[in-house]
Amino acid sequence: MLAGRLGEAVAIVVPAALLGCLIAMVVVSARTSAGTFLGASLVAASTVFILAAVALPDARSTAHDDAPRRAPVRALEPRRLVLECGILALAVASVVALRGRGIASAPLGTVDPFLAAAPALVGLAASVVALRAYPVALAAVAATVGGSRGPVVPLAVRSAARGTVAGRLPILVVLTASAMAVLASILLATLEQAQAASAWHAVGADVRIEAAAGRALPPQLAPDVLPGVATTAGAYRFEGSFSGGSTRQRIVDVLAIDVPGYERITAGSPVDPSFPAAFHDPAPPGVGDDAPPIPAVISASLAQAAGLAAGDPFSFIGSGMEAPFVVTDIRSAGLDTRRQDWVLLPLARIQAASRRELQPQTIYATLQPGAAPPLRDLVAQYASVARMTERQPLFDRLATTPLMVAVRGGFAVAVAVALGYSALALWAALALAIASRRRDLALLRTMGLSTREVLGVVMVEQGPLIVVGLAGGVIVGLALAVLLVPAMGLEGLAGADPRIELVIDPLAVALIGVVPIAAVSLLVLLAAWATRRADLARAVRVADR
Amino acid sequence: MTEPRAELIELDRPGGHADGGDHAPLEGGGRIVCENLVKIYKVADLEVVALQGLDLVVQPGEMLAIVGASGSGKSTLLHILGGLDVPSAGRASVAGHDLTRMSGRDRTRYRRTIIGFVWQQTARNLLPYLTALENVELPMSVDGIGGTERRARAAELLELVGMGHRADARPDRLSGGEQQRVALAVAVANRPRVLLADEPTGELDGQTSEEVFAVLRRINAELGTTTVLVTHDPLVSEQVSRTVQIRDGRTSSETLRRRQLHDDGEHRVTAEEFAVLDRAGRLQLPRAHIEALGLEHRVRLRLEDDHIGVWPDREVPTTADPVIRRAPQTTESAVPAPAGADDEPEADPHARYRPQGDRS
Repeated sequence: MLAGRLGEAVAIVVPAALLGCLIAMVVVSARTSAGTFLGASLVAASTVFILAAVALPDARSTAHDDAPRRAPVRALEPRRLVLECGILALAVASVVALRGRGIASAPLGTVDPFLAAAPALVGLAASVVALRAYPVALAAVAATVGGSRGPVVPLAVRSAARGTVAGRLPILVVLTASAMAVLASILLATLEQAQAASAWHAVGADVRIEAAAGRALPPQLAPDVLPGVATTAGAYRFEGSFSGGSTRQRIVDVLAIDVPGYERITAGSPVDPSFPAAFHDPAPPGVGDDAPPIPAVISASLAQAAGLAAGDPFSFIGSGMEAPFVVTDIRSAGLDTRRQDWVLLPLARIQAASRRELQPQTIYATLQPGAAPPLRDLVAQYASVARMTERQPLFDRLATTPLMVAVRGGFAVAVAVALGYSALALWAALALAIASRRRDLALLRTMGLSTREVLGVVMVEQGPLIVVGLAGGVIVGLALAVLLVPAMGLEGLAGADPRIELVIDPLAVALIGVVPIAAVSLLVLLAAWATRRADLARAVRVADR
Repeated sequence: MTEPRAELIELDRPGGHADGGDHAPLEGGGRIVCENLVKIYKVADLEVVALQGLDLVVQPGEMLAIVGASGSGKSTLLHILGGLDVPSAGRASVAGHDLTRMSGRDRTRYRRTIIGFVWQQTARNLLPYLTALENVELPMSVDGIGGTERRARAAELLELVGMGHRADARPDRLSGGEQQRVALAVAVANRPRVLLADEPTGELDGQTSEEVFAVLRRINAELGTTTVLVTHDPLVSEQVSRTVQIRDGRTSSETLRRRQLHDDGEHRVTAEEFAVLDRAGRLQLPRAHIEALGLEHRVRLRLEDDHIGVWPDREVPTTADPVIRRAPQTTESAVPAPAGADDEPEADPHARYRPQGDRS
């Protein structure tokens, strides 16, 4: 019998592994290596081993079964216990090793055994724990619902609690598939947000119109007169000779920005200018040395080079601005600056200090849908002195790089295959359960259970499997994401200004839970409908025949 | 041989409380009436007539066996009486419920409260994941009876069937006979008017069968439940007071057993078999009788003062009418012999229609 099972397993697993390998190579469009086939072979061998291990108890019991009426006595099952403890130990060891070493250190294009093994081991270990805990939890539930008045819940819970390990395997499938789906959804959401943030930081708004170097934008180029241009904010940019602290005449990027306008533009976006409160102060009437100092945010590198701290004064030489400046805040990241040494100022204060109207060199704007083409046409009229940069095309370029498409496609296929396999396994488990229990269900109907109640028994019976599998999958998926995503080197996919922050999309996670539940509910309904149509008298006598 | 006196006591009729228990017989009762019952199955393009005008009356509290060869229609009759199947024509009524006019919901309610089932496979009468006590509680749970009440009644029923000491055992820990006794407790848990048992001892050895029949008789006597057993085993039919033979979808004969008090003061059981005359005047002759006289195609009938004689159609008609000739005070007729009467084993043709001997 064992040889037969082994043969069946090999016949199923080997073609499946080859097919999976082929699909992966076609979808990802990557070069194959020895590691590709090694990995596929390992997966296939492990699967065959697991299938054979599952078949072993049946084979042994068949050989020694001299009391068919008696149920097998539940022993401690030392082999299974050792196997499970081994999986748990390996999972813990892989996680510890992975956290200690990190993932990004693996050379590009090589097989990283930790990266390959850790998620699978964590998922398997979680499944082992779930499979062990499931009957205990159900037995506790069964004890609490035993005295309830209706028969549906107690029957379903008792039946589910009595199920065999094989009958509980859907937990493993659902857990693994949902964990993978959750991890993939988090990875893709994280990448998408990182790319969106990168595009926002690169442009600073929906569009940015800049004057040619050293020139100002012509006054006739006024985007806010166009329909669909919601908000604009001007910025005055120059190179200043910075003097302050221990530094004299250091060339820095200076950006004086329309603070209220830019805050409206960036509201709700990944760009959070967080201007200091002093930037909102109105321009005082005084000028020259009598005027209060102009607040400024300076870059961390400049502060370090000049030895400046918040509250320290500094000045610009030859800028035409006689007012003193004061460091209000020090930051590592700035707005659309090219040098490491930069200074950010409120435009209103600069205009007041310079005693003249400053024509902006940069205009940031928020666009409503459809407003981009007219604005492009307007800027095109001043092509010699102005150019326009748009955020959305930049984001689209990041999201549609060949590598990103391959990653997204790979994840989508993997999740689809996992969910499809999960649905198939659930359907098979359900069909087998109903077929094997057709007479039990018919017996219940002869006792006076209505079709609806029988349907309720089947649904409630399958419910805990799905709920435990999904809950475990979500937990494992979240844990894997927290563990792996920060070290996965996603920066290379996120653009020029990558800021990777874990994003969990509750809607996607909810969908991952809802879709299998809906699918199983539908399957149960179909099965129950088939049961209802079945000849009750014949179903009762199935076993007799 | 000691001649029996005229005092007859029917077997297995509810006789009250043998052990003084508090199981009161049901009021009302489960009277069963089938009139001209027809059931036609459609298998692929073929129509199979399983019951063709079956008549049957079972009195409340009676214990009855229905016997017949495989395919005779006895299981079909059981399914119709149990509300598992619907007759194609005719009338069937159980405990006042017209089985031909019930909706699906009524049928569910009927199965829940009026009928109890016991099936052949001992392991299949019980849910394997419930203990004996929980299995007995289950029908009451279906009927919405509260936990305390149903536990008390379940324990009481297990005592009635002699399984009180195995209340906490699951079916896989019970022998076949024990399983069937628990199944009987399950079947009568909701105080059904009628208990239907399909080959209840089909998987059991002789001694265990006797034990199960003892429980069946006890239930019948103490609870007053009308009990209908379906079997193809002639020995089973000896356990009840009336046996109805079904052949080709009709009742063909009935055997009545009575306990007779003989002159020596002993009670002995006598069995007497009758042919059944249906509402259309049809009569099925036993196959052994047909073969003994070589009856074929047509037979001659002669009406005497107190009986009807049947002869083979071999004599040359003496009148112009080739079918019927009349004699003073007699009526003869030639009628077709029953066809298809080939599925009924008969050891001794002359044993029919006379007492089958005494049994103590």
